[in-house]
Amino acid sequence: MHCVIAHYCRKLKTAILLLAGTVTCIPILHAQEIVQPRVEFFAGAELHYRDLFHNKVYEVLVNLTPGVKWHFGDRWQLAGQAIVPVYNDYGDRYKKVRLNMAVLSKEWDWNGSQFLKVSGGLFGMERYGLDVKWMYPVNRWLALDAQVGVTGFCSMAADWECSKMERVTGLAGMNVYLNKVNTEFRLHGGRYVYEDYAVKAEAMRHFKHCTVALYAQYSSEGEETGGFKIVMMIPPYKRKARKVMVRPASNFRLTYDMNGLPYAAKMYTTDPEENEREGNFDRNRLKWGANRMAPDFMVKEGGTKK
Amino acid sequence: MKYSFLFVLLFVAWTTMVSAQQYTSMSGLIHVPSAEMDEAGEARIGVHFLNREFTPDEGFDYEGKYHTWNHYLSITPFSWLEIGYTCTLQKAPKGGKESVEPARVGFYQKDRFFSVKVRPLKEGKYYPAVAIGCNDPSRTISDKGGYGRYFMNYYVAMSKHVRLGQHELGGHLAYRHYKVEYNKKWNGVVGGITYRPGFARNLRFIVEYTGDDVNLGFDWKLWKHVLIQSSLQDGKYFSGGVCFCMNLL
Repeated sequence: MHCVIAHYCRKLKTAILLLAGTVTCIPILHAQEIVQPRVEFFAGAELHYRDLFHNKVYEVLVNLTPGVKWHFGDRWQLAGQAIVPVYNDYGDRYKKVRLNMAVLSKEWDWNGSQFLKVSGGLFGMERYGLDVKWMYPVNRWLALDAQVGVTGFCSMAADWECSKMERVTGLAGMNVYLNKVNTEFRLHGGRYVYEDYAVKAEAMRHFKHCTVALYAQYSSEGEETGGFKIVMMIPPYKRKARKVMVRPASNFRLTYDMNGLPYAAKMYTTDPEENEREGNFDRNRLKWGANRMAPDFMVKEGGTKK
Repeated sequence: MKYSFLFVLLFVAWTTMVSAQQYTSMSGLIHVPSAEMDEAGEARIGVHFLNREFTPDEGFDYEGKYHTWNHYLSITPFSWLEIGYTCTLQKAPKGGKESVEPARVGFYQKDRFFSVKVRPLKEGKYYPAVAIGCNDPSRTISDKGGYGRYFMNYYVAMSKHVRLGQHELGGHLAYRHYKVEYNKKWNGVVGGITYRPGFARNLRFIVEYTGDDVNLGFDWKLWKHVLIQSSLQDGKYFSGGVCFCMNLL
């Protein structure tokens, strides 16, 4: 009799723990589900600088880059971005307010093992066309990825200028991530957007809200060079969950190239906020690399403290 | 006299702060490198005034040597590795040296270089920290033709600190080698002594021997993020700067 009572007591205790666990989990799941807004309006800035002439230390181009993203379910996204020049030493070609990107994209993944993203539209670096990105996390420290695109030139800087969509680009590579020190090594090679063949090696250290990378590359266009990149995630890091969100751009990027090669190992971007830190895929699904760190941006429900 | 006054003024004006740095954006003494490292994750961005006595004898001598400025940034991704980037302004006629017409002379050119320091041995109770490093290593790329190696040097450095109650005394010794002839005066064994008082741990006094001069100075970290350094080269010529520091971890 005593054993039977003890048995039922254990069952009751398990049931209470399960119930408590479920109750505790509900708000967390709810908080994750409300993270994604439907429409996001954002604005960032670009800083370009070059050092070509004796009579100026630097020539600078500063653009505002307002944009919009519309997530219409099942990982479909429509994104657009404009360029608004603020300060321009680069000449008349860069003085107009113009459309920079208009991209429709869709992501897939197969049980979290392979990831695919297909994008079409007007990309960054004045390209338009189709682009496919693929990633395969082999294990917790190694991932393979590749990118293939068919694009043409398209610019609105001086009226409409377009070429046929017939340039094929593609690159493939591997990524190694050391979780203990949040450090990532990347090695990629292939045919880049100005039809040069290049190999690029990067070492990047991910900090809280910032990534600093060193790179070295060899290109058939400009031969060897190297430099550094900084990706700074822009505050506020706590955002209010709203269907329509207005916010600063997620990041600010800066690249310094030792030899300032403008046409070597360059690749267009397919997302207005694309950066080396966040990668190309939904961080809630791709738990690899810097996505394993605490997220840069937390969403709080309706502006109230959780 | 003017620079001595500036040195004292900086010292008196900011008596509530402390820390250390070098004109190349790296941790170290004033002109001399050390095996000290910033904390992992520390980033710096700043500017430095370089007295004409402080700069190399070539590259900064347009119609005589001149005072100049540099700006820099650096990062310590790991406790054993520091990387920096420095841009030093150079005087030139507007339009370049090939300019035919008399042109205005100003800071229209610059010299840029990277710095790297690696510390394979961390300081222990009975042995010093050991670091190896270099400034401007990229100049070894063949297409540079050796031009502009104003700051190019390699070094190995040792640093050891001892506690005297609340105070800290540091000894620093380095062997460095500049690649170009006009910087040979700074070659060989160099070193210095640092003192960090117990009542102001963010302040550090420095005396160093560069191979050519004896320099005096201090660095001071204020409000956790502002680092200043002020120095008198050979006890006479002021150089100094300020940088913003932030730990990214």
